[in-house]
Amino acid sequence: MNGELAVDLQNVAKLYRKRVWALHGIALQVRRGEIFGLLGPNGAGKSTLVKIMLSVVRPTQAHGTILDHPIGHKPTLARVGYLPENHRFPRYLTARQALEFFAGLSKVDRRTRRRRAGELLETVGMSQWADRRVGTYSKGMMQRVGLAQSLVADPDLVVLDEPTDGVDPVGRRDIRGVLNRLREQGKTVFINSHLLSELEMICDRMAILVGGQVARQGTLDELTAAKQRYEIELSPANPEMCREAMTRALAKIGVALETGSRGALATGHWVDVADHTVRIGTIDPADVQHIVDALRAEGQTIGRMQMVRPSLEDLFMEAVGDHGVGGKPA
Amino acid sequence: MRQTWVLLVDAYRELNAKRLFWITLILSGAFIGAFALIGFHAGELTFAGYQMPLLSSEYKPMFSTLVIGLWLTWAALILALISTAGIFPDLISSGTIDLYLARPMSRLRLFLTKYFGGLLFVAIQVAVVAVGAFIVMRWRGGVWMPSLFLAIPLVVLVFSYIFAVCVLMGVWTRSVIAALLLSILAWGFFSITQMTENGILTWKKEIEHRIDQDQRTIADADADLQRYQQHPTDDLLGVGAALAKTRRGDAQTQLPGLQHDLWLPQLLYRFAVSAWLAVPKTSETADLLDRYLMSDEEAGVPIEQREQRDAARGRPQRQERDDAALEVLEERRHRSIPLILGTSLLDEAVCLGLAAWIFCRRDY
Repeated sequence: MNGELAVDLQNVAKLYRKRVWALHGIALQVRRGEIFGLLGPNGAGKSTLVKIMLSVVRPTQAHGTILDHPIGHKPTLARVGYLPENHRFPRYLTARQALEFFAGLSKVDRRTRRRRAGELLETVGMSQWADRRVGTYSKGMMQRVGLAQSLVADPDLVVLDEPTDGVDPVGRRDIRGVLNRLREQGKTVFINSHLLSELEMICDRMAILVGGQVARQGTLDELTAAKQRYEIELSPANPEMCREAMTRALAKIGVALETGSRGALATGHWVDVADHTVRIGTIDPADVQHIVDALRAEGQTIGRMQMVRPSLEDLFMEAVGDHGVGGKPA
Repeated sequence: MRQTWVLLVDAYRELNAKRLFWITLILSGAFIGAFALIGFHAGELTFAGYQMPLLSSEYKPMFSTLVIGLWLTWAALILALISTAGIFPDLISSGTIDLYLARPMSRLRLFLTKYFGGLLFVAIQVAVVAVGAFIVMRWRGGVWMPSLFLAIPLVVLVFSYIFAVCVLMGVWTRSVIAALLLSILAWGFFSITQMTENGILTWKKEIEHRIDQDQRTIADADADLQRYQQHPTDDLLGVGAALAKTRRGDAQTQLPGLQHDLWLPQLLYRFAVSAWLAVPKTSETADLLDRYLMSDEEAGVPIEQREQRDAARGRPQRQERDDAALEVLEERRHRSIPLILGTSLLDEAVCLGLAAWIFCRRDY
């Protein structure tokens, strides 16, 4: 048991129809009080993983804990809130009734569930429509009520599957606000989403699932560290002479370009040259100053210098690569 | 307990939101209202003041046949089945079941609570009819009949047999239409099985009755012949002895044929009884109410009374009573209640067990 972790999954596997591995050897850790994002292409097994965590799908193999209890421990689910993808509330219920009903199923007493239903409908901006039947709601309104439903039992862990699906930009901002408040309250949020930009904005850590396996896991900085770099773009008077000047400048500071375009600094950071741009594998400005000096000493004009940090989308695309649906080879 | 209560309240809300629930309730009320219009005048029944060709003693059998037999155990049950067939397919649809399973509650408990919630539809309907009928029977029939309230558990029980099949089909196929059609088909099969058993039993009884008649005819003829031998003065012309010999001869000629014919109904009856034991006894469970509503005499009376009435109106009196049918009726009325309910509940348990197993084992 590790009290630091809200979710600690080890070797989770799911085999469908004795043929198809939806998940294989999943190991994933979510710390308490953080917002964790799970990404992956369609069919990568994200929803299956979430459903295994919530006892909706039975794993073929699963070790690990949710809130310090083994996966599948039903009483623990009283402390877990869940918003499934494309959730459907009974159409005959109003939003208030739906919230109170699902709170009751999570063993919340009547007085508390009434109070929390009112508060949460206010929080998600649905108090005006609280007493209308959910059958009359738009997709965005359903998502808002769904989010409120996932919070109605005051859970320690909230699992959200595509929470902003069908929600307008204002709604998305509101939902982000709610999630940030949950983090401030020390709650753990686990989000499964396709909207990389949304996750990039709010997630502390994330994992990329490809072909039923965790391809990458960590903070955005950790995941992008290998791809972060400085780029020095020259504005050469004579482009043909530029390449030679760059090679000379790098040679002066001890960088020998191997195979014509790539080398290493004394600090160990990589350097490469492409067209009239020098790229250095560091985000420490001190490491690039002497390269700038060397280039200028060679009479080159610096057109632009910038720190490049890959986006989550770049990272995602790289992890998924040329794979087809589910991250399996096309 | 809180979760169970919450689920049952939700089941009531779901029913309340269905138009068919209210339509069925209104129709039930109309049935009771119609019975409230029935009155008594000079030993015969009247309807809204008009004389009916029915004796007042037929009030209870008519009530039992129309309200319990026809409306509650057929029409209202079909409407109930239509209303409740979607409960499980809707529950296990994607996006809904996740919301239920991700709760601190076992799947089996969820399944059973939803099942009993489905029975609420019929329980509420029958309770309303029972209360209405109880008042009407006192008001118009002049009798307090608390046994009417037995209709609530019995009709719910009948519905539960069919609903168990409906739940199994719904969980298995995930389709409302398939669940509804297959459960109605199963219901038809149960009814046909019971009717077949009843029909074959009547056929068997008829032949047995005729064999018995022939054997009695032979015995009577033998006794007559013996009497004529001992007291020749009783039959000076020998006509009695000749007639007795003819009767005996006819009976003896028929008897081997009848005894031979008996093998087929006996064989078929063995299969029919096995099939009868294997299916839920929907009709016989509903008929249990008659045992408490009507005495043996009242249940058998209609035939005699119709004869009396027909005779009074100048119609030809029946020449012979259908002894076999009456024997079957009597046998049905005295069949073991634990056997009827026990085997039916066993079937229901098997259906529900299978449905629960699928529900609990499936990945959603």
